[in-house]
Amino acid sequence: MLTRKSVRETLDIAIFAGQIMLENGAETYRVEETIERICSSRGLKNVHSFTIPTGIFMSCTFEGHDFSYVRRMKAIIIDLHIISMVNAFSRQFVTEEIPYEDAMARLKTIKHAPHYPPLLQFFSGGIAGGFFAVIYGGNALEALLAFVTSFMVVVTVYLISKKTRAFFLKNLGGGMINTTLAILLTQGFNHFGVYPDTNIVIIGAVMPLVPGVSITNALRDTISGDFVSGMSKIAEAFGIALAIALGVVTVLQANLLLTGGVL
Amino acid sequence: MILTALYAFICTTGFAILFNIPKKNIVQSGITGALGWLVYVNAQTVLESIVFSAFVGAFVVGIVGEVFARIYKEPGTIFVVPGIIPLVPGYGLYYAMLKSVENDYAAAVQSGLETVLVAIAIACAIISTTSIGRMIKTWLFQRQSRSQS
Repeated sequence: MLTRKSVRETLDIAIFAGQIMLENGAETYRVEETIERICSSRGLKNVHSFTIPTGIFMSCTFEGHDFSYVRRMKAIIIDLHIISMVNAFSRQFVTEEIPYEDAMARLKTIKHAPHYPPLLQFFSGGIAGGFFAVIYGGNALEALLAFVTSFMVVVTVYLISKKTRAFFLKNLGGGMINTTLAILLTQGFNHFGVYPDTNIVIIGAVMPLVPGVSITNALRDTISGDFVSGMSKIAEAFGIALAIALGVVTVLQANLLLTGGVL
Repeated sequence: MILTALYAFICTTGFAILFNIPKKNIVQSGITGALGWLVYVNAQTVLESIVFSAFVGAFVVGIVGEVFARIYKEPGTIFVVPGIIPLVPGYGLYYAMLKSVENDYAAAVQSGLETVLVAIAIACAIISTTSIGRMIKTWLFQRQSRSQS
């Protein structure tokens, strides 16, 4: 039997599930669908949810009373494992009775689900950067330098994002570390008479930062009719790209001033 | 040829770990990425258009991702997001910003426009495959329920 308390609890669960999904980079339509599915499964009427990357708004009706919820959202990362787990949870929640406390406890465990160990993340970031250098026409040495640079870029981003959730700072820092290391490493090799291409190293190592998935998801949202969230994601992608470019250019210009452009 | 696919496979798996995809799905997402990249590279020599090649490549990524999603009972996103990594124009967007900071606006506009077009092409391809996947699913479901009644 539905009571005001159980309605409130269902809303809690729905909004919490939606929040976890959105924070971990789920598409907005998936979040809306999940919230509407969870609420409708408990007999709530007129369930409407409006989701944009910076917030969730929803309302529903029960016995002539309106319930509404607003949740402000900040900082989106991409964590596909958590999205998949919330997806599985919502499917189970719709088909069977799960008590409120159990459901919230399960969502909390999902929210704090472990990532891969940091060292493995750094290593795979390095590998990705190194092989992107190869794809863009680099040789084995340039790939190795891109691996080292990219490894350090992912380390930098990891360290900065522990202190602040601002996307601008971490991308700026990543871009600066990337270019500094790329220049230092290639100049180091120049002393031994080997001349790796600095640009290839920078390009490869910048790949773990660049917002390729963001811009694609943004246009995907726009084309499917979610204009507000599409525009919001486009703004995010441009901000990220600008931050990286600023970081790279600052170091390149400093190098130009200090050494007179001898790369 | 096989080497290019291998490189794309490794790039994709690297990103798959950064995106924290479940351990059991890493290899499949790598295969998705490698197939997409292979088609993209070959399409470029035939079609001589980066944008259209990106569409074809992403279409393959979408189909393979949907197939894996049905087999492993996971949302298709798990395979598609890492799969499009070699194709996505993140570098182009960065390059456009780099050139605009350096006052080279012609190069910035050229690269920026190409980035947006490639991103639209990939987005269209992914939307098409997802919708086709849903249509097939509802069609199969309807047929099943009709044969039961």
